[in-house]
Amino acid sequence: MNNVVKFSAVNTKIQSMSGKLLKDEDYKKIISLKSTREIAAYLRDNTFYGEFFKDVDLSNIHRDELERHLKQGLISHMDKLIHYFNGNYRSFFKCFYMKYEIYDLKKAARMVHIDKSYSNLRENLVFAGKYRYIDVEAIIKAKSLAEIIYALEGTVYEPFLKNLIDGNEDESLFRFEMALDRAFFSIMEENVKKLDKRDQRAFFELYGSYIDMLNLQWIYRGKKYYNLTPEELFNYTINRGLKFNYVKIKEFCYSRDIQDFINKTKDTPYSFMFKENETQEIFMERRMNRYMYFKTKYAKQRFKLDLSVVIAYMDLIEFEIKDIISMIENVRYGMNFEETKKYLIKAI
Amino acid sequence: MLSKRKQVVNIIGYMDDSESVLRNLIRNEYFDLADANKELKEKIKINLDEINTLEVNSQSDDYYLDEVKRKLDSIIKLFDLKNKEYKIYDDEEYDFKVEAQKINEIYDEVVNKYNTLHKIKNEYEDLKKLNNYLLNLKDSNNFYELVNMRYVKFKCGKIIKYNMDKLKKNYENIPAIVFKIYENKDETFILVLVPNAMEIEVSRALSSLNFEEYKVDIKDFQDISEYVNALNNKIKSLKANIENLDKELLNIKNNYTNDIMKYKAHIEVEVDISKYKAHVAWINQFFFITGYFPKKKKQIIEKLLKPYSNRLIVNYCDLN
Repeated sequence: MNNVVKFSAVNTKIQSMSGKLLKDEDYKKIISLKSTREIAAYLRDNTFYGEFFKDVDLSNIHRDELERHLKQGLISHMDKLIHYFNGNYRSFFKCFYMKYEIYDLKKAARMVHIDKSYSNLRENLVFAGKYRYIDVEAIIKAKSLAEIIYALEGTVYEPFLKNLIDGNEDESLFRFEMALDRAFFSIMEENVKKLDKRDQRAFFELYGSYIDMLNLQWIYRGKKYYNLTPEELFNYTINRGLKFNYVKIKEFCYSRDIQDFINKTKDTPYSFMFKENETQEIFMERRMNRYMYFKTKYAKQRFKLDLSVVIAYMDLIEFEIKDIISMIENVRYGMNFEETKKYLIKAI
Repeated sequence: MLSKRKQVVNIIGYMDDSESVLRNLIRNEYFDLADANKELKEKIKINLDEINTLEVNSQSDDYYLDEVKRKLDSIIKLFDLKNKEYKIYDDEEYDFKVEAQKINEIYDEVVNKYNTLHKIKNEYEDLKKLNNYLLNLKDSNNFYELVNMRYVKFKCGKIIKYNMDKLKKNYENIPAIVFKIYENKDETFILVLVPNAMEIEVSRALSSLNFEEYKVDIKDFQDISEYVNALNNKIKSLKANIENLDKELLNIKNNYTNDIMKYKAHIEVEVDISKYKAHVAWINQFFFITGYFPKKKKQIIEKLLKPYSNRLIVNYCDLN
């Protein structure tokens, strides 16, 4: 099947669905609201997100609950688009469910490991176990990161996680998150290999940058906070980035110290990640997301007959949901418009 | 014109009967539930929020239902029953609490057995691989000498090819000697010789490559062939355990397939009920349901309400 047949229908569908993405005016309006309930009501009455919680009583709606409905919306989008594909392409797009599942697992791990909050685990597992067998009940009962890892025995994550149970509690959350990302990209890479060459290129053109940035972020955090050895850092990095080959990655891993590492990133396209001021840590994630936001937006606008449009559209929805969650948080903390803008992925 | 063919039914009853009445009504294709709270507010000017604060459709009920549904879905997924169907009858009666209890019991039993089976299968596969590993050693007699080395430790194990590639790219920085014993489509089986002084560093590096180490407890055996024999016996016993557990799971599947599908149909009704509950008005210990149906089907509605007729006030009137 050639790409015109493969992508023209789904791209047209996306073109029509894109009209429903939030506009700048929606962002401004949401920031001006005063509570989660008001934001939920606005989304329900004025945006397509409303269809995911139209029957919900909003009078006491909590941030977590709204977040859950929004995430369910994301899955519903994916469900609609996946029907346009079959064979290897369908398997490839199914990997994105895994990406969302990993969000859940990371969140559960943070709740258990840092917040020691065990009661709301169930409500936060929106994606986990939806598309393949995961013992969700065992995750919900987990009281430690090790128990979450045991609960994932027999899943695709097991080979990447089982060596983490080594009693090194300080590093375990960091390594857990890295291992999950590596699992995702390793499985993704296997699936990408089965696509047409043109689509493989399209994928790595988009996600290659994300891989580069994740690698830089991991190396930075591993060096600065966890004192990982260069060998470990290199082993945890993800293959197939866009700008860095393994020699360059090794160079980063074997930097003398943090300053040497940051200096080495200065002549790369990702120097914006390390501003060397007090906002460096707080906004690193947002800077990475914003870079990807513009890249995906551009990919969608180019409207090429390859898989870039679908991936870009899904990412844009994901960014939008992240922004809505940020805006809810900011409303809760009573931040003003200018302050809130700084935390958003979309530039308004 | 259409409204002339329809009739309204208003039902008042005790709260204890509300779920059963609602269940009977919504399962019937001719009955359309209306929002009783809205009717009271608009037509009789009663605002129930000001009269009572009863939270009948509470979150905890929803979570309980979600939990049971999730468990049932897991059972269906594990037994691959998604294509099986069950026809639910209009007058079918059941006690959902009893069924939920049964679902919990089946789930616990199935997941427990499934997890045990999974663990045994993993161990079985690993031992088979270890057996294969030892058979692939070119000079297995000399392998025995590795056990007694003073300054060097050996590690047998496997890593996935993705990570073997990583190991090759940084081999010059790993303070160990790595031999490739053999490989299959996804994994490479290696033997690592590590100086004792560097064991911690090498273990960390191997761990970050998800190196899976095989424990070769060879010291109690005279030679490698004796060890391989013991290994083969263990493999046979694990295989027998797997076959037993497979049979047990198949028995559970055969015994409960009909029940599971019945529970599935019932739980879907319960999910519907939980959604429809928002349309029921609650005043102290009483409920009020209103809805409409085609006039010609009045007998059917009467039949549905008959089991509770002594405890209900039912009023039929024209739709206007």
